[in-house]
Amino acid sequence: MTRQQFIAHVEDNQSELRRFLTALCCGDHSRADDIAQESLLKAFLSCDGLEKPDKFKAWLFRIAFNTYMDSCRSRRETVSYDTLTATATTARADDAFKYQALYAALDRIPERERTAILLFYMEGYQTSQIADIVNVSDAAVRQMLSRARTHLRSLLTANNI
Amino acid sequence: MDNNSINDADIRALFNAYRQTPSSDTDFMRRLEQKMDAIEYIRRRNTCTVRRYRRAMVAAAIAGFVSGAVFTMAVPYIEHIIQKTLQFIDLPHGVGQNLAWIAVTVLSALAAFVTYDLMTPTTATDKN
Repeated sequence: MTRQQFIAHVEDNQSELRRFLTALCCGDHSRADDIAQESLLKAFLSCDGLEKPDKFKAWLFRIAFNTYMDSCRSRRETVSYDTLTATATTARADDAFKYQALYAALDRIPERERTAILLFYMEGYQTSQIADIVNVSDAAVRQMLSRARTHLRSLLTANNI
Repeated sequence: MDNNSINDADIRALFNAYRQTPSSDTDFMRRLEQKMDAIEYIRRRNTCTVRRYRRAMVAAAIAGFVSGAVFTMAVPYIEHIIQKTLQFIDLPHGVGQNLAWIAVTVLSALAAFVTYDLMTPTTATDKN
């Protein structure tokens, strides 16, 4: 894959990737953008090994998910939701306020469950595709989705959404 | 079951309404392309450096071989010089010739090393 082809693929998919990562990072735009940049650079470095260019988007999401998980592991201290809200508030106050409750709920769901639910509802992926991205079995994805729904339902109910 | 489908629809509606606007696409792509440029620059430099090291190794091997051949032809003269230089020491028979071969080896290795050293890139002088 040439640089031009890679950039063309990225331009087609970057906004969805960043939207997904922003939700995954519970509204932390700068962290989401950093992870997106890192993921895209990793993808650029290994795009010659991509066997099926038509699966570029799923491949990119898998790299982004792995990069996100690495970033979570390296962040030893858990950033509190208050800090996240503060970051978002200064950057995009209206959006942050609008999705505050959603971010608060997502922040309380484990990373893998959050990824599964975002890929399922936001990106419209099937469970088999999510299994491929998250690198677990189809049954495990179904279980994660079920648990995430339960979590989300109780959290959103508590926040009166 | 009913409960689940209701919840599922609610969650779906919630995410359908999610339209968080990320930062400018142009800025994001510009940042990405700058980083890609840096990566490509480093890649080009690495390729260039590897090529220069390979060239230096080949040149060193040739220099070592050629100087070895030249010094081998000059072994009788080298032996003569050694014997003249060390005439005040009573050298046992054959030692002079052995010393001449040792000198050939050392000189050839030195020629190879100097060639390699001259041809390898250094941070201060390498401009390519």
